[in-house]
This record gives sequence, C-alpha cells and structure tokens, in this order.
Amino acid sequence: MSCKTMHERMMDVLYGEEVNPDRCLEFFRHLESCPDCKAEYVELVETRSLLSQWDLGQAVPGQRADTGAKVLGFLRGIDRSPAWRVVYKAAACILMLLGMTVIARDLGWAERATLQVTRQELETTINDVVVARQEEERRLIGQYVIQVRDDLERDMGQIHQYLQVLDLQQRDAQEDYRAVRALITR
Amino acid sequence: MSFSDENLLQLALAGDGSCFGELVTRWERRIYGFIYRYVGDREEARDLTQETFVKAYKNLGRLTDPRRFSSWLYKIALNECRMRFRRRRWDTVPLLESVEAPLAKADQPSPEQTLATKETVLLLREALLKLPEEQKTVILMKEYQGLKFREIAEVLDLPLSTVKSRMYLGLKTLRRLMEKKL
Repeated sequence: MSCKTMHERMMDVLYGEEVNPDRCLEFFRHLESCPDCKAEYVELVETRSLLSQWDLGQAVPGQRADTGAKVLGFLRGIDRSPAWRVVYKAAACILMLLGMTVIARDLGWAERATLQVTRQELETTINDVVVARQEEERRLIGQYVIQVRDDLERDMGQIHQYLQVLDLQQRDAQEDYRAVRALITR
Repeated sequence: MSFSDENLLQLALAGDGSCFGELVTRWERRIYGFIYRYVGDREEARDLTQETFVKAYKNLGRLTDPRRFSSWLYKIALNECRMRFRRRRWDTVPLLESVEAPLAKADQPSPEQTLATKETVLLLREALLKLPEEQKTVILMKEYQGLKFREIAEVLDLPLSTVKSRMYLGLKTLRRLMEKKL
C-alpha cells in the first residue's frame, strides 16, 4: 500500500469516520513500517489538538440575530398577510401609473401641466407676502417697545422711591448738623 | 414534544411561520460559529448570519429535500461569506479581534496557561486566514461544525475524495504556517 493512498485513510482514522477495523489495522501497520507517514500522522493529531483550543464556548450571535429573527417575522408577515398583498398591488399600480404618466409627458403624448400666472398677479402675490412679513415685523417691534416702556416705568418708579428715601435721610442729617452746631456755639 | 428539522420545515412550507423561527433558534449558533470563524469579525458574522436566515426563508420553496436542510443552510452561509469577501476585496486582511476567554471549567487553568492558549488561538486564526479558502472551509466545517466528510462534500458539491484531500492538505499547510510562528 502506497503512502499516497494512506492520506485519505489517515483522514478517516483521524476523525474516526467510517473506518473498517481491518482497514484501520492495515493503516497502523503501515505507520509502523513508514516513519514519514507516522511522523505526519502525529503532526496531524497535534494540529487537531491546536485547532480544538479555539473554543467559542456559548458564543451567541447577540442582539443583531434577535433583530434577524424580527426581520424574518416581518418578512413572514409581509409575504403571508393578505392585507399586505393588497397594499403591494395598490402600490405597484400607483408606481406603474406614475411611470406611464412620466413617459407619456416625455413623449409629448400628454400636455405638461403648467401654472399660468400673469405678471400683475405675480407682483400682487409677492407684494402680499412682503406686506404680510412687514406687518408681522411691525407687530413684533411694537410688542418689544411696549415691553421696554413698561420695564422703564417700573424702574423709574423704584428710582423715585430711592430718591425720596435719600431726601428724607438728607433732611435728617441737616437737622442733626444744626443741632450739633447749636450745641457747639453755646 | 420536539419536532425534527424536517417536520418543522414541512410546517414552515405549509405556512406556519413560527416553525421557521424555531429552526432559526436551533441553527443560529452553529451558523454564527461557522461564519465567525470564516470571516474573523463578530459584527460581520452577526450580519451574515442574519442574511443567511433571511435568504433561507426567502428561498424555502426551492429546498426540494427537507432532509438536506443543514447542508443547504451551510451552503447559503458559505455563499454569503464568499460574497462578502469578494465585496471587501482580498487586499484588506481583516484585523483579528481579541481572542475569547476560554470557558470557565471545573479545573480552572492557571493564568499562564490561559495566556498560552490565547496566543496559540491568535496564531491559529492568523494561520487560518492565510490558508487557501477551499482548505479553510473544509477544516472549519469538519473541525468546528462536526460535519461528516460526505456532508461537506454535499455542501460543496465535490467528490468525497476531494474533500478528504483538501482536509489533509489544509491540516498540513496549517501546521506549516503555525510552525513558523510557534
């Protein structure tokens, strides 16, 4: 038995797959008589041992796969639900109609719908828009001026009160000054 | 009472959508494991797993033999991986993510052993990325998915002897690549 024919059998023995006991015995006898095949077999056993170290454990696909299941559920619903079929058909009809309309227009079979507006109408429309915007601006400025005026009035009232208090304090101080001066001159 | 994949498939084909959901639950971990080892990137593996099941669902009617569901599913997953790699261009080698921590077991390994395992796994992943695609696919399917050689042959539409010779060559190349680093 040649070494080349042994390679295939080596795989069967290595993975314990469908090995007839006689063929298995024949294989190991060959290994005893062939150091190259024996060394190769030992190497492959070691390589398998290295491969077995890559253990994903209980690695799970994670949330994305749950999403995948959701996607599947969604697809399932779409494919099977009669309501969705109706929606599909309606959407397809609308798209076809739209497409046909566009093609018909491009080919000149249908008139292009254009908006006819005179220059005067256009000016009036623009004017209305500008006037409306200016009125809105004026309204906002007016509101702001009223608010500033109210704030000023409130502040002026407070200042007036402070001035009255200061005036009273000044009078008291003058009276005290006069009294002290009278005492000194006596 | 648990149904077989075949039963679930037949029910799904008859319009019972929840049965396909059950199949997804049964298979998503295995498919994700295969794709993750193939592409080496968690996010991408999640996306591709999702794509695989969406494609499977859309093409459920084309599955003529429900007994071949698993190999059909692996075939879709492999196509998704190959398509993604073609789009990504081969000149950009994906960066290797950090290696997963080994499972906590009763006989806890020492920190040194854990580190050594991590290094070996990193080398292994690098070596797998460098392997010819057809050899890598066979190794991943055999070693990590536990498929039989004839099942791999079915997924890849190849003769049994070709699968075995790819496995043999793949293991030898892997060994050589790792020897350079170890």
